[in-house]
Amino acid sequence: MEIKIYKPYKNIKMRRPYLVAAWPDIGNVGILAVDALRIFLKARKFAEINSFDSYPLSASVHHGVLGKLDFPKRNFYFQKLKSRDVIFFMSGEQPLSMEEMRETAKAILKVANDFHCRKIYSLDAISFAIHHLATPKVFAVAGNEKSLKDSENYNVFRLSDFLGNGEQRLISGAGSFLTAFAAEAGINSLSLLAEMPFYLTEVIPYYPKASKALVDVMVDILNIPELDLSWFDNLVGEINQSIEKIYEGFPPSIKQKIDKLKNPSRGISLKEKRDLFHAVDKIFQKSKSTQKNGGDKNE
Amino acid sequence: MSEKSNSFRALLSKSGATLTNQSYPLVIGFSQDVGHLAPHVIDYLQRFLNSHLLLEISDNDNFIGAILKGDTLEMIKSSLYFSSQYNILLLESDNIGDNFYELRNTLLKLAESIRLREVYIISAFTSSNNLPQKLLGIFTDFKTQKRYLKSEDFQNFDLVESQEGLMSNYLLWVLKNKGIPGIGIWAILPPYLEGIGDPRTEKRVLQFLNRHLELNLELQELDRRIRDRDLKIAGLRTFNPEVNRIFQKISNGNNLSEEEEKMLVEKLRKSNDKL
Repeated sequence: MEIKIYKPYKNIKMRRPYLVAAWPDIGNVGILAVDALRIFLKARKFAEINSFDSYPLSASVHHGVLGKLDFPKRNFYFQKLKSRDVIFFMSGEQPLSMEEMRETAKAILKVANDFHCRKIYSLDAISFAIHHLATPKVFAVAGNEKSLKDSENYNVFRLSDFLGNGEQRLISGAGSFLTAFAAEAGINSLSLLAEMPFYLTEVIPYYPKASKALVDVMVDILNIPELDLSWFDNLVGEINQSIEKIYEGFPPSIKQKIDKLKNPSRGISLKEKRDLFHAVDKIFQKSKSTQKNGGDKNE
Repeated sequence: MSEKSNSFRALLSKSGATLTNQSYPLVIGFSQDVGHLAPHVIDYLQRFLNSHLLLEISDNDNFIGAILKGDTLEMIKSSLYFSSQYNILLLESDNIGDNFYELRNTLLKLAESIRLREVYIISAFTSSNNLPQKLLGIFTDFKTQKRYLKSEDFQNFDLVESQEGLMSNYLLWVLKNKGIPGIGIWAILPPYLEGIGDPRTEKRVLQFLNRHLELNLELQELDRRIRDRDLKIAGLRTFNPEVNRIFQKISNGNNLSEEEEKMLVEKLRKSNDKL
């Protein structure tokens, strides 16, 4: 996998930068958070990973001859801040194979090493038993104990404090892989996972409420005191309205089950979670099928 | 040269392939192709060219699952065949998109092991629009395209940022970067034949390969299947006025409604199952 650093930036010096990475995930939580930071901080693109090892998004053919293939974008951006610099990595797609993931992770670590990054963060979402009206918490899972300890200075929580008895988790996705991979290479790394209501993960493409929670933590970590996030707040408001409409459309029995989540201390069993997830999924599958058949006379 | 390429070379050499001063055409087909067109073509070539299985490749190292073929589950794999009589390689692969890495690596390792003269990638698609009489071709470069212009086997077309046939186009792109000529052969089927396939279209692809690779293929088996298919359809049309009306609509170049297509597919499938 080849990294291409653009000419004007080949000799750029960065001060103890942090590298913040994200891929598209559930609710596009992580990628929206990194994109928002990139835009707010006016970060500049300085490098990209060539995508020979990715599956293309589309192809063009001109008069029967193969033309351009459109590959997922995997770009690096940077910005100089008051106390330290920051590098953002954004990928257009989750990797399709282990080999692609490994090669991408190696490329990111190479950039991290070349620019003397002090720490790597990956921003992601975690499907959790929370209500959509609740403010998502951000959990920290680290590649090593030191990184985990450092995270205690910020408004993040330890996942182990919230997992039910006997509940184990596979943290899927490229971000968590990068964190583990970086740790093995001796680089301090941390995954920040913002909660997303599990019953919405298959339902909405964006959950900016969770993205905002990640941005708030990163603003603290990067020590950026004067960042205007009102645009983000407006987006959260818009999507919240859509979610409320979806919620109001649920039958009372489903709403009742969802509202149990308003009481975090009560908790919800795995079975209840599974049942609720299937019930919501069934509604949306039925709704898709109804739309396809031009409407149900009985509805 | 990698260990895998060395093992390819060893296997090929053992099968009677001359590795020096010899280049080989490679025909690739995907097992999940529409109407099973590519696997039928590969199977036909494999039988009539006396080719034998060189190796099966299933070394993707991420957990995908298994592939469903009919009602049975099989491991996801690629099968490489070689005909020492005609010096041709055939690769049939389970293409599910997720294993693009394994497919790409297989192609690269083959290219490392031996000289690939030209690679043909067969894909089938459905289109409810007026079906082209020729095959559609996508070439890695203009020089390769020019060689086939005279034969008039192909109809040119354009695609703009399309996801259609992406695996085929991706492999062509890999070949293009390696300087290996490649042709994506696109055979178009009417949608109502998607489930049962079309021996007529299979024959069109085989005729092209037969001509350009000088294979001396016997195509009587296909002619028989075409005759049987035509008889079945004629029978259906005779005894089912609705089916007859739908086929007349198709002959007039009109598009079918969703219900008409569904009905025709069902009738053809039932008729095909009776074979």
